[in-house]
Amino acid sequence: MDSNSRLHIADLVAGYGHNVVLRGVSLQVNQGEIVALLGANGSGKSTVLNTISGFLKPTQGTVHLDQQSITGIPPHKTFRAGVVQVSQARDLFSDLTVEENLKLGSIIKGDEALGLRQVFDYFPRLSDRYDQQVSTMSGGEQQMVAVGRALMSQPRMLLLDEPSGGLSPLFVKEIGEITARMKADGVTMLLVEQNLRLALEISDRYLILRDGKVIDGGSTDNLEGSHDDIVRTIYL
Amino acid sequence: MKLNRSIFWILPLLVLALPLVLNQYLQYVVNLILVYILVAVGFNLVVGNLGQLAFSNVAFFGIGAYASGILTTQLGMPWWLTVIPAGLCGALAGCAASIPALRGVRLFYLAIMTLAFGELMRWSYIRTPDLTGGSMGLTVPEPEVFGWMLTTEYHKFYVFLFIVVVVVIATSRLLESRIGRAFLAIKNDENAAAAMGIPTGQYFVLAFALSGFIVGIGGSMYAALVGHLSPEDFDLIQVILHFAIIMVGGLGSLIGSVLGSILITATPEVIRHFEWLVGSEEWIFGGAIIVVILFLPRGLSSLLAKVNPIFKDRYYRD
Repeated sequence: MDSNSRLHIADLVAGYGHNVVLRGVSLQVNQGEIVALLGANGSGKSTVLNTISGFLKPTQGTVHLDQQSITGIPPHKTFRAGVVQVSQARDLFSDLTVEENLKLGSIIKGDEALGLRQVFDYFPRLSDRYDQQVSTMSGGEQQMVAVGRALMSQPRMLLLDEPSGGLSPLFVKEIGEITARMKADGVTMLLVEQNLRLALEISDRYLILRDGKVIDGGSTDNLEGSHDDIVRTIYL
Repeated sequence: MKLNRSIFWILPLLVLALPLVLNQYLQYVVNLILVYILVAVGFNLVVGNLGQLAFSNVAFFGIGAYASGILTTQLGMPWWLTVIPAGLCGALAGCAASIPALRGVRLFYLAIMTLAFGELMRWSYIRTPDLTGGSMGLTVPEPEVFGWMLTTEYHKFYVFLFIVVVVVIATSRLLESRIGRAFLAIKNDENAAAAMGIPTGQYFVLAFALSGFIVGIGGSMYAALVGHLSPEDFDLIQVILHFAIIMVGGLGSLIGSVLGSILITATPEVIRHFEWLVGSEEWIFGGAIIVVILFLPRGLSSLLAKVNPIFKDRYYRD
């Protein structure tokens, strides 16, 4: 584990009951980096995120954040340590307004006023819909609230689970632009994404997960226009 | 309607004049309303604000009442000194009642377990006659505050009103704080709340303990009001009554707790004053509950909030 490491995972084994999903995952995300975790359905991508954020206890292996172990600690403590997950389901408080959802993001840590300024800077659309109940918003807008709420606590490590899932191409483009801006601002991210083009466009490195193990990876800098090799590695 | 939030200070002041216009019996009914306001405020914390279907309220009520009664009869303490200990006994019972919820018991399972807790306590009152007087009940001496005997309903009213105003304001502040927001988050989605760094288990214990504390104080007031405690005072009918109060008033609403207590406690008494309605109290009472729940599913407080937004509960400071 080098000193530049923000998140370091070694030999992680985890699953649901007798069903072992992760069979020794090791990966590292460096400070200010975006790493895309790619893989077919059922390869264990979301399980990696759920294990990092404490919703799932690993049976083996370690998770370190800035050289401090966060292995197996409960979600609220992982959050306090600085790891914030935006799950695929977004986990928004649907009865509450945009304002209430965002403020809940900084209920434990973070500066509420600073967080709100930053979120509205990234997502100006949300400032116009401050009082709107979240359940009445479109999928794309809900995704903005979910990412915005995560940013309210100024996370050290942001885990994004399929941020483009179920969104229109216009929103996917917008989410991609915002993620690139967040990276420029120094937010470190581990990204799970099915949209290969988007994932490779915004990330610095990619890792391919298959059957609960990292089987390939590399820098996105050297990739040519075609991603056929990666697609073959993921699915074949 | 042009109103501002100062109405919340003016109303209790106006209420101060009630003893001038009420006879002893009606004053007793008003005092009972004050008791049930605390019962409803405490109950609403767990059911309305935390969103848990837990019916241990009647146990907290009985424990608070008996704690006060036992401390005054067995240790000779003046009533006013037993109010906080009664609340603390309720809080302890609240911690105990939160254990099933901490172990992941939810919905109907939690409801039935907490109902059983209330029945277990009632059985305990019957089976410990040396302390509680058993089935015969416990006669509580005249309440006393700093040497001043509360011999009439009017005297009790001023002391009760003071306690209720303090507790309601404190609860309002609490619900507007981060603690209230955490309750709201847990009610909406426990997993999402945990993902936001909220230690959900700790907040479960806190909500149940606070609920027990407030309802325990209500129990202590009840002991001082009725002067005689019997295990039947804390049976399943009480559970229905408490539930009706918060449903009719408005789940998770402080104003709703007050409105529900007034309506549910006062309606049967008002009906009794009309000779031609005597005998049909239960019909009217039951019908009123059905009508309110059918047409105002968020309770009377939602109606008031429509009339003027200042009556809407605020859980976020501007």
